[in-house]
Amino acid sequence: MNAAFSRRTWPRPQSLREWLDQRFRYWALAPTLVVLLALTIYPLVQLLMMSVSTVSFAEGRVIWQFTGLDNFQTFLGDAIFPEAVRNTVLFVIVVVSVEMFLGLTLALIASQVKRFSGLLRAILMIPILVPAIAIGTVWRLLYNFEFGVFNQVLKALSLPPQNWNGSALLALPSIMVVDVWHWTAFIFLLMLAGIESLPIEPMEAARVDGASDWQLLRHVVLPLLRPTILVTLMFRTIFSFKVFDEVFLLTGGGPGNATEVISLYINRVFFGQSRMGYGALLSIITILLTAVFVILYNRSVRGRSSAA
Amino acid sequence: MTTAKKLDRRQFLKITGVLSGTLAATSLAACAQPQPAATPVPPTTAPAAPAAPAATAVPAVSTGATVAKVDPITVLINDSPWFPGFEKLVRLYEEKSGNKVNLAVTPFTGMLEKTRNATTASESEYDIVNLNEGWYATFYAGKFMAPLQEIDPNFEVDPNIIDYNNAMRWSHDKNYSTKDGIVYGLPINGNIQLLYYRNDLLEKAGLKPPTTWDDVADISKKLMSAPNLYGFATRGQKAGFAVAYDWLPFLRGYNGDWVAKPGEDWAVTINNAAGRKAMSKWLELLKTYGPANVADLGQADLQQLMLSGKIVQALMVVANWSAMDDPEKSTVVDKVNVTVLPKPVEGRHATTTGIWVMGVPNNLPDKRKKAGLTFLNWALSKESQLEYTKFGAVPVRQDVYTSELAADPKYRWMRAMADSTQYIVESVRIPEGPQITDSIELRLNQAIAGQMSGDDALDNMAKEIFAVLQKAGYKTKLG
Repeated sequence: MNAAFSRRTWPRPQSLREWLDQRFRYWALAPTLVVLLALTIYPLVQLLMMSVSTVSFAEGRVIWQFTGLDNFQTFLGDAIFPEAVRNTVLFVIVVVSVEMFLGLTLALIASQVKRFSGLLRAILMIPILVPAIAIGTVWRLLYNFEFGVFNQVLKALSLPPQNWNGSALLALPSIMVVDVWHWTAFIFLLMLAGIESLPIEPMEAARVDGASDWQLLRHVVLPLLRPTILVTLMFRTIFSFKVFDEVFLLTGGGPGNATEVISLYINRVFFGQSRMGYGALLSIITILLTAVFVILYNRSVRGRSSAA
Repeated sequence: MTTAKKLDRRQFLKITGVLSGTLAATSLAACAQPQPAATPVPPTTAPAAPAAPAATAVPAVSTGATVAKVDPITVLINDSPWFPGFEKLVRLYEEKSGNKVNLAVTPFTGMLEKTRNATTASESEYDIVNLNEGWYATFYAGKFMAPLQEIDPNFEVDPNIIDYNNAMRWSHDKNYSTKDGIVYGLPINGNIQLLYYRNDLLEKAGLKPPTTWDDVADISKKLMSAPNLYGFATRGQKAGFAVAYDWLPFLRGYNGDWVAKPGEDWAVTINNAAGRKAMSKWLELLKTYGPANVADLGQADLQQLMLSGKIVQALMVVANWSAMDDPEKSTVVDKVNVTVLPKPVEGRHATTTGIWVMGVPNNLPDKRKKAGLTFLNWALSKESQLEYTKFGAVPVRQDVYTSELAADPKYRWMRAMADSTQYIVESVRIPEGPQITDSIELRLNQAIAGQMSGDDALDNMAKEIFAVLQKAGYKTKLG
C-alpha cells in the first residue's frame, strides 16, 4: 500500500462526515466486495463445508451430516481420480502445445496476407462459432466405424478401419484432434490481435539493419509478442483443464477409463451418483491443482522477466 | 470545487449503496429460490391465477370418461423420442377435460437437478415430475413424492397397469420396492428390452426367431457376413447406464443377480457361477458376431446399424421401434420384427425395466396434488393409452398390448411387449443404484474393450458393489 494512504498520515477527522470521506476509497470497494462475497466466497465456503459432509436426500429434505475426513478417506482409495488427473494433464500438455503452435503460425501467416484476408480470417474462425453439441455430433459421425469419413478414406486406401473412439490407444488422441480443431481459432484470434498491435518501428529498424525473416521473427516479433503469448497460454491451459463437452459427447470417458477426465468424473460423482460431499472434495482438489499451476506459472514468468 | 467533489462522493456512495444492496438481495434470493422452469411448450396458460375450482372428485382410473375440473398444472418432463407422443396426449387431455397443462420441457441433462430443486423447495413449482429408472428409488425412499392414496383415499392402481416389478411402490421397512409398498408414482413410458431381428433374412433362410442365446449364435453363424452384415450386438459403450442395462438380462437369465435377493438378502453375488456364465455368453456373442467397435456402440449407433441393414439381431429397447418402418430413416421398412429377449438354454427369460414414472411432489398443497393425480388417472386409462400408442409412445397397460391394435402390422411390436411383461425384472432399484451401475458399466466396458478379463471384471464389480452397500449401511457380504 502506498505510504500516503496509511492511517498515520491522515489528519484527525473533525466529524463523522470527514471520517467517512477519509475512508471513501474503502467504501468504494464495497460493491465489488459484496459481489465477490455473494458469487465467489460464499459458494466456495459452501463447497468447503460440503466436502467434509455427507449430503443425503431423506424425509423430504436435504440433510447435511458432518463426516470430517470421511470423504478424504474415500479419495485416498479412489482409483479413478488419479487416472482422470493423468488423462487431463496429458490432454492439456498436448492440445495446448499444438494449439499454441498452430494458432501462432496461422496468425503470422494471416497477418502477411493482404488479399482475401477478411475471408481467410472468417474461415479460420468458424470452428469457434460451432456449438459444442454440434461439434460432438459431427465428429462422432466422422469417427463412426461403419460410415465415418476417416474409415472411408482408409478403406479407399485399402487400409483397415480404425476404432477411433472405442480403442484405448486412439480414443484420447481422437478427442485431442477435435479440441485442436475447435480451439486453435481462439489462439489464432488472440495472436493475430497481438501481432497487429505491435509497433512497426522496431521491425523497420531490424529490416534496415539487414535482419532476415527468421531473425525478425525470432529476435523482434516473438519478444514483443511475449505478453500476448503468455496470457493466451495461461487462459488456454486453464480452459483445457476443464475439458468436458468433447469427452462427454465423443466417448463418455471410455473405453474403460481411457478418456476419463477430471470434469467428467466430478460430474458423474456429483450428479450421476448424487455423492455431493465427495464431489465437493474432488472439486476443491481440482481448484487447488489449478491454483498451484497458476502460481507456478506466474513465478516462472516473473523469474524469466527478471532474468531478462 | 472541493464542495462539489464531496457532494459527488456522497452521491456516489448513496448510489453504490443502493445498487450493492439490491444486487446482494437479488443474489441471495436467487440462491434461495429454485431454478426457474424451462420454457413451457407451448404455454397454454399462466401457471398462476387459478381459474377453476379445485378438484371435487377424482374419477376411477380405468374409465377416463369423466374428468374433474381442476387447476392448471405444470409437468416437468425431459425432451426425448417419446415426448411428442406425450405432448399429444396432454393436448388431448386439455381438449377433453378443459383443464390446462403446462409442459416444462428440459433436456435429460439437468432433469435430476430440477426435480431435486423443486421437491426440496418450500413448494414445488411442478405438479408432476417425470422420474427415470435410476432416480425414482431416491425420490420414493426420501419421501419426496406424495403417496397417491394420501391424495385420494379411494385411489387404487388399475390391475391392467403393468407394475414393472413394483416400480410404483416403495416399502420403507424393507428399503426396497415391494408389492406391499406405498404407491408413489405411476408409469408413463413402458420401455423394456426386446430382441430386434431381420424377419426377411430369417424367413429367407428358413429360420425361426430365436428363443435362446444359442439360437442367436446359430442364426448369426448362418447369416453373418462381416463387415457388411453382423450377427448380433448390444450396446457396449460406457454411458451412464448403457452396457450394464443391456447385460442385466443375461445375468438374470442365468438366475443370477447383483445381490442374492434385492430387498431381502444383500449379499453380493454378481461374480458367482451365474454371473460368470452370463459374462462368458455375452462376451462370446459380442466378440464373435458383433461389430469390431462394439465397446463404443451406443444407443444411436446400434439403432443405426439396424436401420441401415447392417445387423441381423440386436438387443434394444422398444423405444427404438418408431424409426424401423419410417422410410425417411430406415432401409429395412417392414423387414424388422421383435420378439421376447432370448434366454439361456437352461435359464429364464428376463427383460429390464427402463421406464419413466410420474409422481406428484409431496411439497404441494392438497389442491395441486389432486390436480396432478387427476391428469395421471386420465392419462393411464385404457382409452387414453390407446391414443397414446397411436401417437407413437410406449403404453403401460397390458389390455392395450392385447387390444385389437396389436393385430395391425404397424403395431406388430405390441405382441412381443405383451409376451415380455411377465419377464420384467427391475434394474438396480436402490438410492445407491447409480453408484452400483456405474461400477458394472465401467467393468463391462473394460471387459468388452479387452482391457480386462470377464472374471476380473466381475470380481472388481463385486468388490465395488460391496463397498458401496457396506458404506450405505446395508447388511451385506461378499457372496
